[in-house]
Amino acid sequence: MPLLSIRNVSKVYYPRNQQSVLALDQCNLDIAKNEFCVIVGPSGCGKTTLLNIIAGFENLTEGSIVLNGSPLAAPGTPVSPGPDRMVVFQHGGLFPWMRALENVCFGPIARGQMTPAEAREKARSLMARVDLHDMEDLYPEDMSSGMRRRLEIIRSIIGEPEILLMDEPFRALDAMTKAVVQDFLLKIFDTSPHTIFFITHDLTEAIFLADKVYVMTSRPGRLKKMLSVNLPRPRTLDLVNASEFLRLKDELTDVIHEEAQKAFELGEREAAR
Amino acid sequence: MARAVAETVIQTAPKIMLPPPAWKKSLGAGARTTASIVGLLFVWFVIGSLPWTIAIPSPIASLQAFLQLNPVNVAIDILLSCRRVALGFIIATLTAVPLGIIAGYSRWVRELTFPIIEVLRPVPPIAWIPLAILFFPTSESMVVFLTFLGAFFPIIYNTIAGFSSIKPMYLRSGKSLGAGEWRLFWHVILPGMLPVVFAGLQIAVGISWLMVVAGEMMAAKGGIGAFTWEAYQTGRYPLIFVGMAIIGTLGSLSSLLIRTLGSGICRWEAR
Repeated sequence: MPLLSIRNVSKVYYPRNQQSVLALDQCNLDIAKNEFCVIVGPSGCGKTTLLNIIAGFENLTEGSIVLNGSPLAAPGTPVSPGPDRMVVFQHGGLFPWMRALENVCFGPIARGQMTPAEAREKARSLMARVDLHDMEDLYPEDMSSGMRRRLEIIRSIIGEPEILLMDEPFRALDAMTKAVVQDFLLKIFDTSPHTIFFITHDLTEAIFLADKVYVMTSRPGRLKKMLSVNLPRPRTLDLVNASEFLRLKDELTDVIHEEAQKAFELGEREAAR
Repeated sequence: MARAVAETVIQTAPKIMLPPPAWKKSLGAGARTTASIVGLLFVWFVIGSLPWTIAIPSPIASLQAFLQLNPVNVAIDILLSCRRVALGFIIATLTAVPLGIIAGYSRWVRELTFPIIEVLRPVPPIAWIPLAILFFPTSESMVVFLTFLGAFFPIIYNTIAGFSSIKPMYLRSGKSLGAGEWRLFWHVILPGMLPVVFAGLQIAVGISWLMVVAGEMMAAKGGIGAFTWEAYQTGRYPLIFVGMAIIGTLGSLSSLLIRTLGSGICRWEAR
């Protein structure tokens, strides 16, 4: 049985004084426990909408989502965010007013999962695993972007969520920092497996990280194609030159290119109207 | 050969890297602040010595007049004004901040109160003086009301603005981490809005000083505004400048106090 199962999920927006927009159309997706699942697709295709629905930030219009056997969302039932589905935000969701250690400890203390002392101890050991041991008293603003991403990942796994939802978390990073943070994420994934739902539009990143890559089409957002990445783990950065990696990337590029072309033409037509 | 090049680079690099010592920086800033005040005194002196401005006393004459004053009386006037500002400002903070937070939470309250605020806010606080004189039984309560009124609008406005300036992502993040409403307020909403609230408090304390001086000039007994007005009416012109200098000093000191308090509390904002 999959850990998370998304069945026929559709989402319609009703912008004021405008035609309704079908953002997601009949999406189906299963994520097994401890699977690294990556969604790629052109910007605006509805990737983030799907993530927000799973996270409980938005309602769905049709379909259902089941997490670990219990229904999470269905039409008409308001969903709520919870610590079983931790989100790592695109623009960084660390609280600027809390120091690094306070940020990491906030969740477990807030829901009474750990005493402050326990939370601090666990936070320190996790921070040491991503080379942030000397940073506990820094405010996020005083850390580099790569450190902030690592800290946010730590903050989201300290409470051992069922699933980690990552919304283009490395988008704003430069190539070098990105490689470092990806490496840390994989290290965490390899030593203590997590179920991860990861959004990106970077194809190399997608194949490098994923067990499965789903391609999402745009307007309406549909899950079009699934690619299994059977590259061995632990993975290191030199993998990106392996022939199997390049073959997968070629395949993915073709699918994406087709979609991007369609999205572009759609945009052109709308602009011409 | 390559190593030799590398060594030269290493030898020269530290010289460029050395930052200027901190004392030099703060000394420079101090010197500029002093120069700014001295410049102001100089302009005053020059204007005072123009042949057609007989009535404007020089900085020296004003200083002499200040030294001849009874220090106890001056202190009493200063304390009276400070007390009026403090009372009005504190009452305004204690009412406007909670009200702004309630308006931030409740759309209903916001829609009820916002039009009132929008209509009353552009009315210059000084335009309230006649009404305040008519309405309040004592001049003391009238002046405190005026300082309260001057502070109230910028505080409530900034509190509402601060509330709505919090990125939805932080609220989502907090809920996702499992925080309940109460914890979300104390640990996410309140710290998130504080920097904007403090910006409002700083504006508010300035307007409170404006209002205390205006109120005291119109009707109150004692206080630094009354002192300045009396100096004008009794023709002791150097004392006008003494009064103005005291008001300026007190105003900027209270602004500094709020700023220090704000950057002490919102330490993550300090850059």
